[in-house]
Amino acid sequence: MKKKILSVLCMCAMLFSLTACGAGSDEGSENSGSDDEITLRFSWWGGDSRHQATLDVIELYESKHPGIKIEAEYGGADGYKDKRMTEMAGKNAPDIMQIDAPWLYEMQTQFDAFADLSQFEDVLDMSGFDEDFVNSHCALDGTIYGLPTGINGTYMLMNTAILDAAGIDSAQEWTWDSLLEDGAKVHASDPEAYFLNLDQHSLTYHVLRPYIKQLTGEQFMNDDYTIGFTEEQLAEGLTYIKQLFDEGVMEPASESFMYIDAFYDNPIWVNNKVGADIDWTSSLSARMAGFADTAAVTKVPQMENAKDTGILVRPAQIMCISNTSEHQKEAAEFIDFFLNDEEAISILKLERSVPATEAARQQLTESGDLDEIVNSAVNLALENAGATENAISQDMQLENILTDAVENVGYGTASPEEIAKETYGLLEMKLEELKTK
Amino acid sequence: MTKRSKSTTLVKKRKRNYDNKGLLFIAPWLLGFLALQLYPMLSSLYYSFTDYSMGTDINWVGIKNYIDIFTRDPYFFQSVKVTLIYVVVAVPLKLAFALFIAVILNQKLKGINFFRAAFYIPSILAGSISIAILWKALFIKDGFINNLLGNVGIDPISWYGTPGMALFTICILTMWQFGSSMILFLAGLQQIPYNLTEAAQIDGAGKVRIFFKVTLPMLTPTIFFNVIMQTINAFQEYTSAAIITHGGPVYGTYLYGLKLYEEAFSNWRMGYACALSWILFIVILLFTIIMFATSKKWVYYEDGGVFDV
Amino acid sequence: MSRKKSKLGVFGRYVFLVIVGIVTLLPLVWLFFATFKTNTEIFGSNSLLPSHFSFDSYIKGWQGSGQFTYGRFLLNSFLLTVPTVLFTIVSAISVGYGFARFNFRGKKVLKILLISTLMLPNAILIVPRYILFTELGWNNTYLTFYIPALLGCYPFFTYQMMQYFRGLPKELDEAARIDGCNSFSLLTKILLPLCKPAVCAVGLLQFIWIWNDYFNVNIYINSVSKYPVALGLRMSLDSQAAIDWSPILAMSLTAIIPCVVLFFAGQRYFVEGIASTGIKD
Repeated sequence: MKKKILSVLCMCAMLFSLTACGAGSDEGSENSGSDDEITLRFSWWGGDSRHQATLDVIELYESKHPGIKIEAEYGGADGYKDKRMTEMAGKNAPDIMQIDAPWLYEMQTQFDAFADLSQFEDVLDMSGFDEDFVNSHCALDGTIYGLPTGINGTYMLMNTAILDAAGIDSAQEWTWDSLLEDGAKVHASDPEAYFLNLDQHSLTYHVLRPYIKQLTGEQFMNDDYTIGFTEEQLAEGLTYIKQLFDEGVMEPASESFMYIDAFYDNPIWVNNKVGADIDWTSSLSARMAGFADTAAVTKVPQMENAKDTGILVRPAQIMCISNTSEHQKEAAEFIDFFLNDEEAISILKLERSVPATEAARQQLTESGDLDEIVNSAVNLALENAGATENAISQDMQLENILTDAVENVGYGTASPEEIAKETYGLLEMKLEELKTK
Repeated sequence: MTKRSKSTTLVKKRKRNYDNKGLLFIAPWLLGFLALQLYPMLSSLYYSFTDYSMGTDINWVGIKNYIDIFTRDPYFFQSVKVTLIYVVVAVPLKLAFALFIAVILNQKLKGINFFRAAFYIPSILAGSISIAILWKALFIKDGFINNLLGNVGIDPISWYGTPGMALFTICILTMWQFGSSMILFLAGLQQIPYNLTEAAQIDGAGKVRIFFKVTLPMLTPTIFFNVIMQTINAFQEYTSAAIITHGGPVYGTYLYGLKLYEEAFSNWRMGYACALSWILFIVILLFTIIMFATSKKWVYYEDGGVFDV
Repeated sequence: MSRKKSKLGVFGRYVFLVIVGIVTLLPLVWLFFATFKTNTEIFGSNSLLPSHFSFDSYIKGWQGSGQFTYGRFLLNSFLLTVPTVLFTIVSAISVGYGFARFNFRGKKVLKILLISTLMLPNAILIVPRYILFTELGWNNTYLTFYIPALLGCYPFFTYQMMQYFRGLPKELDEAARIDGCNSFSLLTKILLPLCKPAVCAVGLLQFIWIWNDYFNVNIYINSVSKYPVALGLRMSLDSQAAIDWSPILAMSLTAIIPCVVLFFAGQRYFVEGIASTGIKD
């Protein structure tokens, strides 16, 4: 009896090891590529609706190209970048990748991750894309490594119902000062509501950065690895953020900062008690879903005599081909279909923000799929765009140091001046480290 | 050579032949140890003396990483502090609670299986994504816990509002998952011969006295084992801080494991991260050595020991 | 008199257990009810009960996101976990037996090495291992779990089995050898049948660990078609999009059912098994 159990156990083990080997060899053939079927791995991040639309396009493509199988590797944004970089390090990255534009520099310099797209011009039509846009966001030293999936810009979203209730005119163009003044009214008239809702990342990216850039009119970080602003200017920006909390324009940090990267879970947001937020247009549809009827968009607040608007425009994401892919040409064909084909465009709609080609925008306008608010937000950003950021200004480690500063301001661990001083030192130290790398 | 000694060498030889078969049985582990533990360990030691960041060239930098960690890293000491607090608070609380429950459960009670399982379920949920939501939503300002406390007249507590409270809230999560330690204690309690406690009872000792004079000493090997394993795990804790607080507020829950992961897989400072992991390893090693050294004083052994070699 | 007192004691004990039980289970009860709630209710209200009960979230959660249903992820979890557990048991038995019953040369050193790997932080190993597995072409297959299990790289369990074997009387060996058993049949015929509790303990613990593991599967498994539950549940977690929590909570609660069932089924052996392994001697 016992012996029987043991032999069954062994059988099971053997059986499973066989299936395991099966799985392994399956992988092997995929990479070596047999004659009749080519498998392309395609990775992206997103929420459910983007997943579904993208999978539909893949299915459509596979039905039109019988020899091609697209293996979808998708998930949420959390950990997406880490995972891709782990794969790049292992020379095991998917053939086709959706990446965020600021990652391009890091991934390309560190891993030589992507293929030069210009070599596939016969199958990949790039004529519809704005050349300047592609060159400034999807290329390094003149080599194009990616194509934009859509146009992303910064804007301010308002829930006019909340502002009206507090007696605030939502049709005005905001300055940082007027925002501070009017912002307090929302919380004063409804103790559960706040004018602005931002987590520490957004506060850093969409308030501190534009504020400082409007002060300086310079790149945030200079190409020679020096800081593009002074310690005093940083202190000024941080002081402004402190005022936002002190005046009750924003919910106290002890409440709001635990919703880092979980914006939609904040009770004041789910209960529709937020007057405004500042963000990228790619998430606009999701953000206004709870109050579509009373949503309105406007420019990111400006300072008087601003030297730069601080408003950013960049690709929503960019589509790249792995340098280690064995089927780069087929990957290029797929990207061409994904971004240029009419059927694909009609499926994807605004899932990756407003498309980057004129033809696609035209098509969506005609079909009535180009949401008016989203489109106007993108246009607002395009019309008022500030200087394009250089690579070093987008470095995540520097950004994290600034986020820490904003957190410290929010929790009031020290005065803005003291925090600015310490932060400035940390930035200098990190820049020095990045420079020698 | 005499006949007798010849035969003893033969017996010895046969015995050695037999014993060498043991190598056959441990061969899988030997292979695994060399390929999947020793080799990665040595390469990580090597990396810790380089500027390795994956993808780029590897340059030998000597002990620069180690110097940087102690002199330049702005958050190293913070994460060490947080981790030590976590270890010192969470582990004893969890173990004391687990022991307490185990002692109560170690009776012939009806429905004991149910309670045992009920107490164990939180441990099964361990790193599930639902924990992140659960622990956030329960402890927010107007959340379920504050509401409960409000019913008994306690003012709302800002569970995540300050670095200290946030760390404590994480410790509560660790405590909540006391089930696996409880099982170990239960197992240990069942090992204690019944006649020992019975004898003490006949001698007229009270229950509390029996617990401290008989049960607890008999249980020290289990406690020792639990303390070692739980502390090693706590030093490496990553999940709870990563999914609930992201290390915040202001690095209040920035556990060492989280720092290590971020340096390795977000900042890609592999050499640096390897140096960090070796520091952790040495700390754990020191802790274990100290525990072993002192164990003779407080751990009761019938013979041999828990980690007896 | 004394009997009355002890009855009171039993009663008091129950009251206490019930209170602790409520405190322990309350978060789970909250979690269960949360599976019926909208996001607004989860984060925006403090009531325990949902405003209405419907199993929509379970249906929606089961359908999954995109091309695979939750059933596929569940199946994957079994395909990943069951062989890994079996391999762990096999290797733990073999290695544990080897260490407990043979006095080969260098045993002491090797045993110290085995025990010291218990203290080795996973963080040290993960990067070089990832690179190694990539070179071997194992990434994105379950081999990244099967092989370490087969090679005894979960030292905790090897250690437990070793301790268990040491607790079995050596006289058994002598008797078996006289009966003509060799070292292998001694293990399979005589000792193994006595190992049921230990095997249960090792199997159950490893099952729960692997089933719940997120950190490692996230590093090694890329294809959605191979995602276990832990990864499948996180597929729609996107900070840039509003997340509908109830289906995710519903499925994550469903996911622990196999572990709970196993625990209930095996808990008697489980406690017994642990009793005679880790803390033996």
